[in-house]
Amino acid sequence: MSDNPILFDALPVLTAARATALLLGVAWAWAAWRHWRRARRMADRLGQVALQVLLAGLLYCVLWPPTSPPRPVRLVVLAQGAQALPSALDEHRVALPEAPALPGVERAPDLASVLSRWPDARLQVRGWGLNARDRDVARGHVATFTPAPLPAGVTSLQVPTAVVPGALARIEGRVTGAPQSRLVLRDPAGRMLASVSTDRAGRFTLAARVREPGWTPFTLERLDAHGRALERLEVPVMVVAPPRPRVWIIAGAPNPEINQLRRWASAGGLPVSLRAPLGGGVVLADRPMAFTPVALAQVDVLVIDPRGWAGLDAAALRAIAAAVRTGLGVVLRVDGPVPAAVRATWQRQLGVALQGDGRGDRVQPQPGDPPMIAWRVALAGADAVPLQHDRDGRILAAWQPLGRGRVALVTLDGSYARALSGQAGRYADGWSGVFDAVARARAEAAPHVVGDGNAWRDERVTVCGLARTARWQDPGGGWHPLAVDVRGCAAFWPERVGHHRVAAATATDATATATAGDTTLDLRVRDPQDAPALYAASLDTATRELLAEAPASGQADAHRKAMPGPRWPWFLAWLAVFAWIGWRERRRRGEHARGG
Amino acid sequence: MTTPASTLRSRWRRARARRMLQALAAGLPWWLAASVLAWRFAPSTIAIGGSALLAVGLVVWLAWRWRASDAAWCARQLDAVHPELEDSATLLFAAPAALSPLQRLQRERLLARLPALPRTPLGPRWPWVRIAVALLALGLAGALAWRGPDVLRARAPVVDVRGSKATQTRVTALQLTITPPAATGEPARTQATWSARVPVGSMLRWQLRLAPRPRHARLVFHDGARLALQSDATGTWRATLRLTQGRLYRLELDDAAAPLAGEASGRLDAIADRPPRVRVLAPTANPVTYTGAGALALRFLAEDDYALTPGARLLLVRASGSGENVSFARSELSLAGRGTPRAQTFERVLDPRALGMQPGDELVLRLQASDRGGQTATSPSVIVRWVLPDIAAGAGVDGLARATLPAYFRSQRQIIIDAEALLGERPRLTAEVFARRANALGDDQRALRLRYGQFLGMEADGAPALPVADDDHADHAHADREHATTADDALPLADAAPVAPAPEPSAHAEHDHADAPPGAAPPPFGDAGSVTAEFGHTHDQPEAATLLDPGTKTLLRGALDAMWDSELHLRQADPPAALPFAYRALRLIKQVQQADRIYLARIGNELPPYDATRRMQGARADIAPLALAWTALPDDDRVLLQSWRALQSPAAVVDLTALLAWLEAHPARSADPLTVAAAIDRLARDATCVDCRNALAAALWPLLATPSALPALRTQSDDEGRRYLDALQRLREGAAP
Repeated sequence: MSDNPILFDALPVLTAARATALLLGVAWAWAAWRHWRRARRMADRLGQVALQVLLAGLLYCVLWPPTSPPRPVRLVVLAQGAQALPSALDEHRVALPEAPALPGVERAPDLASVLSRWPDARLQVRGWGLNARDRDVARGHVATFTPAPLPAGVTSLQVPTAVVPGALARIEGRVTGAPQSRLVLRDPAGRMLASVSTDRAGRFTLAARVREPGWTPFTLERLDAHGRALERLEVPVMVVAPPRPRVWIIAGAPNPEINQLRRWASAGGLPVSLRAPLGGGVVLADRPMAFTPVALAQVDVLVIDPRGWAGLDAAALRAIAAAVRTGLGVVLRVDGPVPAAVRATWQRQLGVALQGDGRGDRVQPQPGDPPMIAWRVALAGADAVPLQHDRDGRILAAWQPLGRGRVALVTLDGSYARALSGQAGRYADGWSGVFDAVARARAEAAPHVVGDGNAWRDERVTVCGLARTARWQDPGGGWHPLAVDVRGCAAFWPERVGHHRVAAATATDATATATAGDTTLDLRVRDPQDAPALYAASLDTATRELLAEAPASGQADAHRKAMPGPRWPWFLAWLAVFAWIGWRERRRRGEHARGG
Repeated sequence: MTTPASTLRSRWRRARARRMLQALAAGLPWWLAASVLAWRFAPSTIAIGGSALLAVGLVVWLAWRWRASDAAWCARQLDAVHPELEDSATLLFAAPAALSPLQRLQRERLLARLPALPRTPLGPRWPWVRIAVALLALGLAGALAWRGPDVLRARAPVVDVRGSKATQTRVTALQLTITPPAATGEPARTQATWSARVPVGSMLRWQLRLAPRPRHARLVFHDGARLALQSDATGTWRATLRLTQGRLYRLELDDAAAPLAGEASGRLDAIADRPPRVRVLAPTANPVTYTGAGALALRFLAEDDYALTPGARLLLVRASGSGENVSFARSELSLAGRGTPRAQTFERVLDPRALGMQPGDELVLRLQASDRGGQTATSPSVIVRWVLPDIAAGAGVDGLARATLPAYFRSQRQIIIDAEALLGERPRLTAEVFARRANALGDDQRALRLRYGQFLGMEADGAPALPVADDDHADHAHADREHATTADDALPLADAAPVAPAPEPSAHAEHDHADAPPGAAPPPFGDAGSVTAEFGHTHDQPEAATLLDPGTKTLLRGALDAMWDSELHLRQADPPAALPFAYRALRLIKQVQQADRIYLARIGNELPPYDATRRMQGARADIAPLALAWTALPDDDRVLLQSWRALQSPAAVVDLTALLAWLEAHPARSADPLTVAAAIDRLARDATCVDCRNALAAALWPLLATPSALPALRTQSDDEGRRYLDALQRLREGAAP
């Protein structure tokens, strides 16, 4: 019989205990009857029977010791990175397998086995923290956490999970333990792309422009004073081809700005339609635009200037206003003083209140820009969100919500000059930023990693946002199914370092490639040995979160299970009584012999 | 107490030990030397076996020497050393019983004599010469083992054919001789590896031995070229190649029975010979202003990656004269340099006067150096100017090209037209309106008069504030109202204001600009006025701009007088009286125009804001529908992009042949095409290698063009989010009215 009551359900335990009690009762009755018959004196008879009762009771207690509410145990758990500390007398210390070898500390295979021995232990975690294997078990048990100093290095890293081609991928992070570190970002071929020193808090930001869709393994290096790499982390960026927004451009007259906008959109593969009246009833357009709800539902961004707006009839304006409320994004491109009539209809139809006298100023938003014009109008609403501003803080573009859609006001005019003066990248950044903000929200939600976004070898990776048919791919290209729970989350244990892919749903085409980026999650699984500081920091963060969600002590009491008490006192008592009975028996036999 | 017998035995023992020591001293170094050489240059099995064999031999030899040092030998030695023993030392070692009485008597005598003998060591002398030779051999072997492997291995590789057993062909010896082109001045070198970095044009010569001997062998290059290896009688395969570009190659055999063991491939990097670089060390200032005295010290530094030809040429160009009458004289000097062939310094002290330099001239100096490869480089120009202290004013207005303020005031012709129109409207106007409009015409007449007056040096202070297209002028609307009547109004004065010098800065400053006026922006390209002001001298000083010839001056003065009168009458609300003067002024201005050449500013006039209400109204019968087509740029990178995309999915097949062809067609796209080619080659030979795919993708990444940024769509919200946004909008619209 095991002394671990957890292995039994409540009913069988009671039955076994009752059966034991019944057996003992029968045995006692038989023994009592025999003693009753053999003893001559009533006192002897009573004594014998009482002793048999005592013996049976003690034996029952040995087999089924009375349960007692357990005492909370102070248990010190030494995790990875733990250092030798003087231990208090009344604490018990257990070292997890990752902990360094410390003399006189008991080793445990994992935290679950520790907690099965001390189910009610209040854990004092020392070291960098608990890893994913032990975290779920430790939920609600962690009382205190004494973090060990983290190794010097990159302890925080934010890499965008998916960026679009041509965009700047910003890699942010933090270095601890090494002030004034120098960090270098290298491209997949090992050439340096960007370099930066950490600020006073150890933070850094590096940016690189990504190229064609695909897995782009950049490398981040931390250099010492002599330019040698102290630490090298792969920071891969997944470049995905997003769904292209469909664009309508309505202008009062042809101008270089819309020409360049159309050129940029067409070169990027955006379906774009243009409408610009030339006067006298002649319209420059590539296809007729019908301002019906059905047609407008197929548009993601509508770029319009005040004269273009003034040239539309009232029905079209109402249709546009209604379409914005169901998700259309409108970019109001100011290219001159906004007439009062247009201001009034903007206010009425789009809820856009403007402030400012509408005069134009020459601006140069960034060094090296050609001179451009910024018109002095701005969104007056309190829910306006700035998008772009120049060096002096003047807002050049902003948006505000309208129903499910958004309306942006771009007051920077003549940005085409950027594209003509060798700043095509800035031009594209500016307009793609505006389109990012306002275009109809159409992208599928991609799966995401639960936690800080890092995945480690031999540690569970939890991904949410999945469909039933989700699966994952290992670096060798093999696909494995995922068991997805009702919340759409699943987990897997990567065994290899490298590029893993999680597909939110199984595509009908088994050889789906990287361009189906909106429903896949690409992540790099790292070896903890390769990035010790980052690993230690992720343990630290996760353990602190555990600490934050530890329940109050009263709540913990409710979870306490009744524990069988120690058996040995009962056994000793039983042995003593049994020995005494035996001794008495022998003496009586001797008396009989002498007497007989 | 020693007996004679024990003395004898101890001497024998010592002699034997001495002899063994001598043998050991002479033999052990030889064995050690042989072992060291074998261990260093032979395969380990041979080395161990040989060494053990030699050790056994040494031991046998020593044992033989030991056995040879018997009693007879010892007796011979005793006899040789001690004449007292009377050549009878053999008796000492013999058993007394076997001796004849006489012998026994002699033995007794010897034994009695023995203790008194000096203890001279027995045996041969120490063979110092042999020991020295042995130690020398050991030292030599040690030195060879320590420093010798490259020499020996390259030139005389140890052939090990036992391991291959003829199932695989091994390269048993390889020698690659590199002869750089003579221009580099580098010596030829030899190496025993397949890869090398060599100057472009180097001659490469492979010599290799193959075991077992194949029928054919060749070198295959990454671009598909093949180079057959020729075998000679001794079994050495040879091939020669002049390397003109970087290449990857490997050895291929025709022998299917015994394929090549291991990898025999290499990478040949061709290092291009860079042209020399020439820098100016002195003078440090450029241009140099020469004042007519002193000498000019020149110092140039020429560098090359290999070797410069000795000497350099100093090119001199002297420009004399000014304006359109500039003549050039070219000459050349030879300079000798100092320094190494790679970096030479050229110095020269020049006296510009000796070169014929005159005041006002310019001297341009350049140093031309060449390297042995025939490439020539020229230094930046050193410009020496002998600036005149005072330059006489020019006699003509040559090329006024100044930034102009837009001139929106009216032309003389316009004033006449307007005055006549005003006269025509007179019956319908009140006297007051008529007088005001006539006065406004008088204002315009005054502005025009003042402008032309500048050519005659009139004070600019009285010039009116010109209505220009600045956005902060309160009289904007006023100007618009007055000027927006005719179509040509917005144009500058094409007919009447041809000579359009800039208004003087003082006039300019009168406009109280809130921000910089267009004319004060950084000088736009082509602003010839500022260019000449910055870099040269102008022949027409601003005040000298009025120095017109007397005839023109008279004409202009007459025109101004007429304008004055015209203005007078206009202000008196008497246009009929003003018209004759206006006509006279127009005629005179036209005469001035025809008299002089005209230089118009060709830059940056700012047009007034357009009037959106005025659009094309004319006939549109000929306007035909026209498709707005967008022609994309030719997609040159299609192969590259296809390869990149294929590399992204592990199952897709990459068209490596097309990629290699693309790479060769675009050599300038990659800084290191060989690395890309090597990655392609690796994948081509093992299509299933995941690391090779990743390596090729990484090598291709720098070749991809950076596309312009595209928008990323927001993630669509779920039902809850949509309801939230709708409710928010209802709330907002409920609150708004």
